[in-house]
Amino acid sequence: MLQSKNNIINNRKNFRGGEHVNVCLLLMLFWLMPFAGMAQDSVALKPNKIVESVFSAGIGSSNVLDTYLSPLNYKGTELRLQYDRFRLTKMMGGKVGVQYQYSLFASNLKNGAKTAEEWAGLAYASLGYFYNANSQNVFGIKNLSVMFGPQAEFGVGGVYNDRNSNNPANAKAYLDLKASAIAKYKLSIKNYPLCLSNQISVPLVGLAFSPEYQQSYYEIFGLGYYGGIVNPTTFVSRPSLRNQFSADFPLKNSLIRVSYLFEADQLKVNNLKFHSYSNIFMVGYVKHLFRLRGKYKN
Amino acid sequence: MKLKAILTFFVCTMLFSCVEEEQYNNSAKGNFEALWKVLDEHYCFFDYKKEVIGLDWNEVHDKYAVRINNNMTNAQLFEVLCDMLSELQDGHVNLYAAHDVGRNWSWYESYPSNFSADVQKKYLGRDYMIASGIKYKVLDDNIGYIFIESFSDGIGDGNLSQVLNDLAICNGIIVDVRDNGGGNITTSQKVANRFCNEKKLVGYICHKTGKGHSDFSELKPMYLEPSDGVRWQKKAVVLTNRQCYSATNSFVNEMRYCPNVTIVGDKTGGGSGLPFSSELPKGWSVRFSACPMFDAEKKQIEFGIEPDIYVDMDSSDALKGYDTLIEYARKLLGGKL
Repeated sequence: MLQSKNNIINNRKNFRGGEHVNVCLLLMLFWLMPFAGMAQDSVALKPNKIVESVFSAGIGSSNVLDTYLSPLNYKGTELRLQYDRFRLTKMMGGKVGVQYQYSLFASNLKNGAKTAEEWAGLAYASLGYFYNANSQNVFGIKNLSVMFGPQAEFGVGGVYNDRNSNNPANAKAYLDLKASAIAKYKLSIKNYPLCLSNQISVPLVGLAFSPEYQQSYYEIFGLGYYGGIVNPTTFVSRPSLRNQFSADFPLKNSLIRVSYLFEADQLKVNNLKFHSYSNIFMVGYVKHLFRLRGKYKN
Repeated sequence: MKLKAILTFFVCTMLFSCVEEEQYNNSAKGNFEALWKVLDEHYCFFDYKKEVIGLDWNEVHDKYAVRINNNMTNAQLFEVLCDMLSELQDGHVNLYAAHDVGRNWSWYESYPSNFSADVQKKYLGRDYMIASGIKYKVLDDNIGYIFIESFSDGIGDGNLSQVLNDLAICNGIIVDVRDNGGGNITTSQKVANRFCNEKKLVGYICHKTGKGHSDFSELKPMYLEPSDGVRWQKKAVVLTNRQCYSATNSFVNEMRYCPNVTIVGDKTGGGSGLPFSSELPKGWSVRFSACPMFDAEKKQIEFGIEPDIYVDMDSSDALKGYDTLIEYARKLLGGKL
């Protein structure tokens, strides 16, 4: 136990020192340890004690179609915030990681003739468990690891059109069970460590809110006729995809993540069509934390 | 192998499943076709109007398509599109462009107005009260007069209780909704709720469930719910004319199921379809009836509601400063008829 405490103290000192080499070491450590089974005798360096959290902000383009509001595509700019948290668990011999993801985004859009505006926004939270079946040499490629697993996601939001009469807005709410996979590849260029990753997730089944084809919100909320607004979905009626390609690299004393996110959020229910295509460039700040509980419990 | 097949099927489904709507180009023909299609897939009175006025939307397409060419100006295109929309004979159908609003107001323009603001001023005088847009006063013969010129602005429960309290001494009240072109249906219901003492079925509503002209949900009942606030228990007369439209048409429908209420004046203008909006590639906005509403007997009220007693404004009365409809209502409430 004494050794463990010393490790923690030493590590903390190193972080405070902010030496470039330590940041690099941490970056390497985080992706090496989960799969190589290193440092099993140390509390501080146990894989399930390390939490990676990333706060990112991004900007990009958005293309939204919601036929409840308009048959036209609206295009504009999207702003997005995202928070990711990932750590390994003790499940299945430490081969399972858990990911929490929270995101909030809003976009301002215009029709092709620029005569009307739409505002779209969504917030979602997801929880995913990822299994790493192999070590770091997937498909014979050294330092490549792949994790995959289920993800549950809940989102709420809406689209508002600034000139419609009794259909000015359409609410969005969904609960998706998704399949997701993360591939990570670490490399170094002239001793400069770099970690490339790509996460892809697609909904398989779920539930989605949608009014019926031409059902007014007055009928739903004014008169209380809720029938038909909660719809089961599959990957056929909700052929959606989110793909985020990221590169983590050290910059001075910090770890930075830059990423490109493509999201195709689509829904076809009640004879209504919805799509939201986003292309977002994001910059994030990565922190690796040691997760301690009680008196440095194992 | 099975896994590969499943993955292949899954990836193919994803790749070929862009959720898109057919986009028309921004030419005159593209806008014409887009407008015709918006109405074809969304307008809710095709079946009813085919029966009543012989409307055939496919024939309408052919009739107006020959007038479209890609060299026409915006103004010319707008005129043809408005002509096409006027075939629907619906006040809730409008085309909005930067330079004009296309409309069909034949539901009142072809009829006597039965209302004169100048004459009405003589009844209101200068000492009338205003509560959230409702103008009211006590007339000389102890009849209360309430004028609601729009349901667009919210009317609070407190306002309604105050108005009815102030008029509680009256022998009866006149609720004048002439020239009221509508507004929020919830506001009109809130007023009507002051005139019933029990939950009352007043109509039905439904909505389209698909693109077909006959794709509708089942009819859902609509009720008046007695208000917790002050409710009117004496006689009341509702004055109507052809400009009572949309939410006001619904209000008149609701009031005719209330006890002690008599509808006096002209037939209302109608407009029983809750309007939705859409748009064209050119950016012009189009409004159309989307959710039809019916009376308690499940009959259409799109072309208006007959009053209990027809009374027209007498022009000689108007010249003398008398409002024939108000005078008739005063006599009715005063027991002089």
